[in-house]
Amino acid sequence: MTEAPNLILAPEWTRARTGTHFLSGDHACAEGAVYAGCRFFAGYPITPATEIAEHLAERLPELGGQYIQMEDEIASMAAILGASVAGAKSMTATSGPGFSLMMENLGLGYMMEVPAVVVDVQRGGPSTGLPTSVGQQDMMQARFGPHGDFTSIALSPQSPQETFGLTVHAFNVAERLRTPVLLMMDEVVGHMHERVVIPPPGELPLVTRPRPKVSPEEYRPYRPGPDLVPPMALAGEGYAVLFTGLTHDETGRAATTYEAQKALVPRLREKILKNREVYERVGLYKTEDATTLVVAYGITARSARRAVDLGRAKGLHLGLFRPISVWPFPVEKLTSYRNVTRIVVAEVNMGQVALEVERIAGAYAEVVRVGSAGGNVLAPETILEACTSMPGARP
Amino acid sequence: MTVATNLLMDAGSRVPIDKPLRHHGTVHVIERRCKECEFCITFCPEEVLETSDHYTARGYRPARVKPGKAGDCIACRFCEDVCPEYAIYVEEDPP
Amino acid sequence: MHVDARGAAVTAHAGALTAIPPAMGDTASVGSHPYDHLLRSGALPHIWCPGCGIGTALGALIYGFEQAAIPKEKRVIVGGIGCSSRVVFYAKTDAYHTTHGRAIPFATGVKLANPSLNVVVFAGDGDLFAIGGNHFIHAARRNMDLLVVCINNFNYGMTGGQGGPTTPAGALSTTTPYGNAEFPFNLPDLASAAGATYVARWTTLDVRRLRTTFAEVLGRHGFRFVEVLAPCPVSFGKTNKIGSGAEEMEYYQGLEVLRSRVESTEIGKTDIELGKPIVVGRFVDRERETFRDRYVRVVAKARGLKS
Repeated sequence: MTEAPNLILAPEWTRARTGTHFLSGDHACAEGAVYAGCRFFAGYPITPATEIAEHLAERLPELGGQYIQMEDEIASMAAILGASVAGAKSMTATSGPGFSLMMENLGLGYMMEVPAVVVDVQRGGPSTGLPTSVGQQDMMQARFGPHGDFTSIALSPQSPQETFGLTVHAFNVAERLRTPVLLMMDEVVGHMHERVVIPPPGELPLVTRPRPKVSPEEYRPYRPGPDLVPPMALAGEGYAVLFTGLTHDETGRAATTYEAQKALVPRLREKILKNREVYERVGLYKTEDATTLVVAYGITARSARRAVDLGRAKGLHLGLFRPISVWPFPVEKLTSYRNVTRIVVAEVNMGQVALEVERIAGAYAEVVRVGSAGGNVLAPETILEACTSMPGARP
Repeated sequence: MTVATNLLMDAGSRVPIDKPLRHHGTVHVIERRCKECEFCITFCPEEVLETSDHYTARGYRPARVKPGKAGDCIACRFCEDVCPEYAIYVEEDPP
Repeated sequence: MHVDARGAAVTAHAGALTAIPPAMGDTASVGSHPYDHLLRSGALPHIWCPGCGIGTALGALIYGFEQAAIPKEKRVIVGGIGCSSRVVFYAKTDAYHTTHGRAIPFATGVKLANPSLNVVVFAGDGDLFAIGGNHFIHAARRNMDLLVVCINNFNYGMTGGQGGPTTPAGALSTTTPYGNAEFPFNLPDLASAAGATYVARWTTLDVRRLRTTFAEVLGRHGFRFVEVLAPCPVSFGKTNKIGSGAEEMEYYQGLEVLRSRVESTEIGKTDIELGKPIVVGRFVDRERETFRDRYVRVVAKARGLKS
């Protein structure tokens, strides 16, 4: 039996697809994963994310990587965690129903501090909903999906090109902070085809998880570094690591006590909140002198930008504040705009990120929601109307 | 017997045929681990073990070798294999 | 050094002696157990009840690792949730305590990312065959290179003795107080039908044969399944009036029938019913390409086509 190479290898650049392509967001995501060094994908077919799996089913074997179609999304999430603890950069991709199934093991990933990328190409929900139509209805689930207290990192691209770059960024963040990272796409970005430039290998920096610098006897799998991230030993290196989803102490041993909980769970949150510069990204368009900001992400941001242009043509001081990292929400960046009297939050749901904006800015600005039950891209005119409507008017 | 004695000229390299081939071992009990499950006591083929009279800090009476029966252990190691607590093991005596 | 919930000082080093005040009469601690360097012995005594069979099964697995000469750093144990899965806290290997029923897909990821690892899934009957049933049959179908050890004590022990998918018909449990209305799985039958290439069943009383089995299968490839019938004196054994741990072992001793080979057509005769003979032995031992054998060819083909 010829041995296929172990997946803990440097990316194999001889098969890089450097150059300009015409790709869908799904395919751009898959190529971004390949570029980032992902060599393990476990998933389950679901519209509109299936193309990611299909593309990687073809790409990963030619790179000596592992594509495996698991029996369900629960197994997919478990498998990518297992591959990661053995050293592989791993990813799964799904949509709403599968995202719901993944929640328990996503929580395991947060608790065990395992790097992984989880892509949710959102569609109309709830339940089976609109399998082939756009939605942005899983955003609060991205924030609060698994049970328990945790802090998630969720990124949202607005184009296939940005999907490529954000997928690489997601892997880097996951590795750097030893955490699962969510890539919250939507069906339109996932299926639209646009120009995508894939840079030469090495041009985008790649990050790998912090590694132990001490002997196995001294190593503690959950003793954090100064940045609150513990170095990670892999299976098979002789460290006899112990990882558990139970509350644990720094040796990894279960410690189901109030003291251990107090030492662990807040650190998991602080690990994320204290390291904003690692993941936080915001897109700003004409915000310098804006008196009304539109907050939008994903495909909605494309309409919002047009709305800003339409408004500016009429002399309105509109600006687009685009959270590229939606969670943790870039609170300080948004609240730095104190001349803003109105914030319009546009999203293809009935108000999710709007809840966060209302919370943080409601005291000093009027927050107006532009939403949808799902299945449509918000028109620029609709967003513009919300910018110019009478204060207190309901859309 | 005379024939056997003649054959035993270089007795140093041979085992006497009139002595039974028997293994022998010393049982060690790590008392703090014993939970009085009595697997070792129940299944020892030579019935070498019994429950002690005293209690460990956890409230169990650990297994012990019956007084006077230490010589009966045949080092089969069944106690060592079956103990769920890793609380008993046998050191086999050299032949 | 820190203090655990029992007030005992513990370290993370196996083999280091713990600083617990010696119990009365604790003069027999003349040295460490032969397995102390292979266990996280600072954590002993473990959490399992007096008379529980899990410790015996773990000892047999450790014996198997040693006899099969699996390098220590290559040994990986993955558990789910339940008493049996807690072995990960006591075996001194890379150990992962995952979610209920999901040890097998997690282990699949570990093995495929680093095929040089020797990955064992060690979990209980409820974890593997209720919530985890789907993952079990698919891993068997793929002939994934995993050893799956199921400690079958016929109930959910950790949560207090509820009925589960292997609780015998008519047996009592906290959720079958009038007798189990359901039929249980026949695990060897299920494993065999799903595609497992090695299937065996032993009780913890058959510890010698269990050890030999582990020593044999740890060096092999493919989906290997070993069912271990273990006493659960505090829950199942007590509720069904089988007795203490030792009495439950004697109960199995009285009922078990050793078969060195069971034809697949007869595997239905390995059902377990209260009071009826229990067939133990090796039931399935066959050759089939593993998932990796076939995937390696996929990789070769992909590379050949694209070069």
